[in-house]
Amino acid sequence: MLLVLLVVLPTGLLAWLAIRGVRDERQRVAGQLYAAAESRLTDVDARIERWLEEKSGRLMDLTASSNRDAVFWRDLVRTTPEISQIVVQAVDGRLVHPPLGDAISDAESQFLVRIRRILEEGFPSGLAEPTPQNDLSQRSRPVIDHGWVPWYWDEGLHLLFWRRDPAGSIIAVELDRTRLMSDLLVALPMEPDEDRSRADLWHMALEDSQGRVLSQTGSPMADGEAAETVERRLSPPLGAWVLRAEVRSSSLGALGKFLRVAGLVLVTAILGGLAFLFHRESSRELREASARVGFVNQVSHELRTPLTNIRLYAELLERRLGEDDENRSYLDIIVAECSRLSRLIGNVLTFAGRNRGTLAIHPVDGSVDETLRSVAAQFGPSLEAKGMEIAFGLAAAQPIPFDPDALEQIIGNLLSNVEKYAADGEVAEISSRQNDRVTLIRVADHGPGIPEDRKESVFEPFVRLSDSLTEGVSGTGIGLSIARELARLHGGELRLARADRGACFELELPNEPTRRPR
Amino acid sequence: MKILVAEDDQLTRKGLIEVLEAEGYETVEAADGAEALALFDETEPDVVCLDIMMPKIDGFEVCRQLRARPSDVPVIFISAKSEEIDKVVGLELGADDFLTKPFGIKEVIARIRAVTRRWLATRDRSDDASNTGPFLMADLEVAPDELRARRGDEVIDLSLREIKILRLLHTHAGKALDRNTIFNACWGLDYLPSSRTLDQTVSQLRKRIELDPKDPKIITTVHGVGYRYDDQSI
Repeated sequence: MLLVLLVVLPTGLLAWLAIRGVRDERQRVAGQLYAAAESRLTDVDARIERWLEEKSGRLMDLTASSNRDAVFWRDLVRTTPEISQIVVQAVDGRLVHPPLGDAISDAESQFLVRIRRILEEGFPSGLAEPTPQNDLSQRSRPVIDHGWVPWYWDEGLHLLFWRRDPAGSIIAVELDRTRLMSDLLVALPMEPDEDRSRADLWHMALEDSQGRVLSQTGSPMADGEAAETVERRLSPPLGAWVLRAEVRSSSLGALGKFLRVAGLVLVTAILGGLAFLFHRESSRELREASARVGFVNQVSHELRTPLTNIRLYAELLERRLGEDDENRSYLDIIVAECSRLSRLIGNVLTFAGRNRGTLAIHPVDGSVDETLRSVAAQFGPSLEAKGMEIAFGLAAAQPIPFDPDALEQIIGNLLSNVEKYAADGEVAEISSRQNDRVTLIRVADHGPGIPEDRKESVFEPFVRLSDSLTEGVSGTGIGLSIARELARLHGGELRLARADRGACFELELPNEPTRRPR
Repeated sequence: MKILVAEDDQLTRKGLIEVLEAEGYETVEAADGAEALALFDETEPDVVCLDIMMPKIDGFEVCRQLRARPSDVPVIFISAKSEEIDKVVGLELGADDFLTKPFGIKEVIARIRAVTRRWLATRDRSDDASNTGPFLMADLEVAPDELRARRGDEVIDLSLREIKILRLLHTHAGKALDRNTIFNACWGLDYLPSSRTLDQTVSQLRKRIELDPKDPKIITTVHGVGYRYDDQSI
């Protein structure tokens, strides 16, 4: 798990940094965009300012005197392409030009319709508003005597230049729209970006009030393609116009895209790495488990092979001896010790199996009495050596299903305890009886018995009763715990029965299997 | 009757061979699974003893391949009683019986006898002129198919060799058989046992079937020649 953490944390950190990086990049580009747009706008504004001033000056000159007649004005309109119409209003508001009545042309009357509102509103007078740049004193503030009026009609923006002559008359000039547009656009060329490398990255356009693009630079973008957009309105009188700058979202990802892809690759790599780690962990567990099982098999095989040979050759030797040869008893002991060793190995392996949950029994029909006799025979020599004898009371003739190896292990463990603790009692009683339901087997001795307070704990693993009279505590302490486990696997039970003297273990096996063996 | 013993531990294998030969069986030895399969095809044994944990090819695999031959030869597995479910797998493969290490000689003989009895019952052995049916020797009922003899209620287990000896003597009732004849008939031509072996075997046989082994009535010694069975009923 530590490994997983070690992988996940730096990844998370990297991912966070990457996201931050992308965001920072976006902001940086946006910032750059704003800066660029700002400078552009300032530039455009300045140009327009200049143009307006130029135009103003020119128009002022052209309309120097209001004391002209209609012919003059009409002539002026005709000869000045940038002027579409002229209106002259006397100080009292009376319309001087165009002359009303039959002489007015269609164009002129349409013009009057167009500017009716403006004429009604009138033109500003008085002093110019102070601006931060100006000196605030009355004296230096100029008088408003000319200006621009933008208005909207039909196809869009119209500009009207007006001036007040010393007599107080207003002369207003409508600029020809087409000419106006082309003049304006000539005046504000949208040069491609000095930095050519960014030419594809963004797009700047001048849009009119209707959103129509009047002029643009860079490559236009489809809907949704723009990641960042900056808009600025031009200064009056062209305040309805908008300068819009857009940055391609894809350009954001020269870095962003890379980071995104890198992020994806990283995540995939992480997930792959984690999957691999988990797989390796679980397969390692599987490998370890099978190695453990293989180890147990191997140990079992390794220990049992020499044991087999010792027993086999001891018995072969015995066959060569005469019936009355006293050497036979020694060979009997060798064979008995082989059985004991085999039992110990069996106990350890069973215990290991129980711990792994792989302990299982394999019942077959058979006679328990036969197995009891066989186990007792194995103990014959060693019990005899301790001055003990076995008393049989076998009455379980009916065959029942049980695992003979397991029964051997159980009884073997019980007799081994008898041998260890109850040798003084001189007798080991093995008895069996049956009824319809169960088969009961008893192993009893006349030894010191088991103290009342230890009656349950003796079945726990690693618990040993030590008798101070014996030389030392022998055994592993797992015999009874294993014996009970094996009994329970049969669907039966191993318990300590009441006895007047000594210990009496009772093994109960069901005649019909009640629990399915694992 | 021929038994193939496949066991990788040399000592165990030799020990088993000694036990089986003493019982009267012809034996074939293999030290691993591959050799076992090769010798099986070559020598056609009547019973196969297979150690499970063997190099090259393990006992289970050998059994599988034998069954695939196809062959229904009786198979006895020798296992070390490990945690594996040897018995379940073995039985599924069609094993007849199991020997678990460490086994004693008695267990080996018991297993082999069981297999032999089944084998005798299904086969029509006529390697000599006599039939395999039971026969009477004095008050002893000899049942070769069961590897047993009966006297009244008493049941006596006999080894294959002992059966062979009795059958030989019975077939040649009244005739003294010399040692060589008995050797050839009951031990096979590959053996050169000492005459002590024959005497020991007869001695052991007498202990089993004679009412008084020291005064044998069924197998009588013909000094300087060999042994004879006299049919008292004649």
